[in-house]
Amino acid sequence: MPIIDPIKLKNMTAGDDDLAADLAIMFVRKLPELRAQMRIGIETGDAVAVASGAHQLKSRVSYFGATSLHEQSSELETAAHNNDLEKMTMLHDNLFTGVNQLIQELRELTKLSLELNTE
Amino acid sequence: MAMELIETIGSVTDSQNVSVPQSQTRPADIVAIDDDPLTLRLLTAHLSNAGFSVRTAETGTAGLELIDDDTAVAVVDLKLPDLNGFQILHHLKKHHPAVHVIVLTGSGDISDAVEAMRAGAFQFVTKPFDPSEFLVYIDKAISSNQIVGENQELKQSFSQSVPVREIETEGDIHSRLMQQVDQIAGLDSTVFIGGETGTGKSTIARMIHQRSRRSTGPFVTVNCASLPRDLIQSELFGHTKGAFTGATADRKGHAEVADGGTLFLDEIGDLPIDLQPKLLTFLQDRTVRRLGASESSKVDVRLITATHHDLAELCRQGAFRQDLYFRLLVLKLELPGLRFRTGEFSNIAQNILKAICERQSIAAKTISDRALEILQQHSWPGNIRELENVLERAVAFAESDVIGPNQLLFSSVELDPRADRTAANVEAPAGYQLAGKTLEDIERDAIVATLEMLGGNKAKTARTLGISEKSIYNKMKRLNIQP
Repeated sequence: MPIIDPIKLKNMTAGDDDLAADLAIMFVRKLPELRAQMRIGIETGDAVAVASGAHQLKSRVSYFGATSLHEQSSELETAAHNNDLEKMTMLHDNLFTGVNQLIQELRELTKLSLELNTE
Repeated sequence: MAMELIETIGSVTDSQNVSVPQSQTRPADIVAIDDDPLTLRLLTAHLSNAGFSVRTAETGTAGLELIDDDTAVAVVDLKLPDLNGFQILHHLKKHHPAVHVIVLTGSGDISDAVEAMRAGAFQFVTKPFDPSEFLVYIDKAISSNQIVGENQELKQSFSQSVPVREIETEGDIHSRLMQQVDQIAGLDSTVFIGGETGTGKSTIARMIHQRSRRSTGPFVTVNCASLPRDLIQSELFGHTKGAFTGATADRKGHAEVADGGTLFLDEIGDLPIDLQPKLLTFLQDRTVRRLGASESSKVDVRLITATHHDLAELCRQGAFRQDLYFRLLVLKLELPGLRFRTGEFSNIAQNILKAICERQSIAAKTISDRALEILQQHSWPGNIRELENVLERAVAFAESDVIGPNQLLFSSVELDPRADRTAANVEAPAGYQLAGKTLEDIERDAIVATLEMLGGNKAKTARTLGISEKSIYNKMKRLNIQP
């Protein structure tokens, strides 16, 4: 099942492919920082950092019409607010599986290489 | 002159006595404060395309420094790295009470919304925002500012300084265009704006609204190409509760929201043919009937449409109704592609670069001679919008205050700037060949051409031009047109 809703993305970018490409590049460029913040937050039990990361991710994925990831991010944010570490860990892993699929779909959609800096 | 008058030629002539104030623009009008770069990129794109000047900041402190007397609206995220949105809202209400604040947040928390509105926010919007709706909020905020004016005269003068981004520059083509915009704004007829993608059709539509008597009313934009087909009717004309699955409440359509103002239908050429009769009815009666409703209601709306398609060709192909075509093309404005503006190109590029630097609150940059030469050789199929994108990328990658050839990244479909169309081998758009003609000449040409097209049938010619048969005889006599 595709993550991106092309109609929502088109509406969000008014059909401007350059704008869609810019969003994809920005998303991928900023992702390692966000991913690290959330991973370290879970490892160290820093729920505030996880909530903040999930909140940011929630907004960003929504611009691609990625409703399922938006909902998962929202659930993770709530779990972090409730300091539910077990649920945070589970939701985090599921969320980033979906995020990886989102990146793959963005690559196909924009024809950009969108190399993820994993350092 | 790029304006082709088909129906209300007499009105245009009459309007020459109407005093139309000259446009003024202000450098910075909307400040967006959000720590999410994607949100800022989207806001900048949509607001700039709509003709506003935008400056952005990723922190509250930096954002507050951008607010000045020119700021009309601040778009503020609630969660920022340093300050929170409420602190910014309180600060602005105290120190810049004229600035309207739109709170934009990823949290749909009701208590946040209530607190924001109580603190004086103009609107509370959750992400992902709907671009069309967001522009309506911006317009309402700006209109609201105008209404605060002390009297009609002051209000009129203030409305002329409403933020509209001048993407153009000094030059003959630009001057003529602005003159035509002022002429059209002084009327209340339906307007069609033609031109390739990225030529600034949305900006011109907004300028017409803001210079018209409707400037204090809403300006509502609907992109017909981006609306899901199944939802177009409901989006345009609204629906009643239960009209279809998911219609949980009555909802106004864009045509109703635009009541008292202007409805701008962008990419009208993409309107499905089965929906075109409904738009035709709306144009004829100025009434809307919500989906599922049994009664219609009257609205007072000026319609502006635009498309990059050749509507006449779509008519010939049967994809666009001819009766609707003639209804839409009352006043026609054809915007030239960037490649036809060689004499102004350097100024346009420098102006856009300046606007980008101001928007990003960074030191001014210049374009090296070699980079300018490369830019001038490019065919610019995406026109002004493409130039803006190229320069924005150049600014992002610039290593000094001078943008050189290495910073110029063209989109993948146009890697070779000399490989495609150039100004030398592409003819100017037909409408633009009218440049320099008097309105009387254009009126004569329109009548002669229509007579020829219809085999000299005056009754049909009159109907096609939207005037009475008596008028066609009078005009032919006045303009010395031989039957």
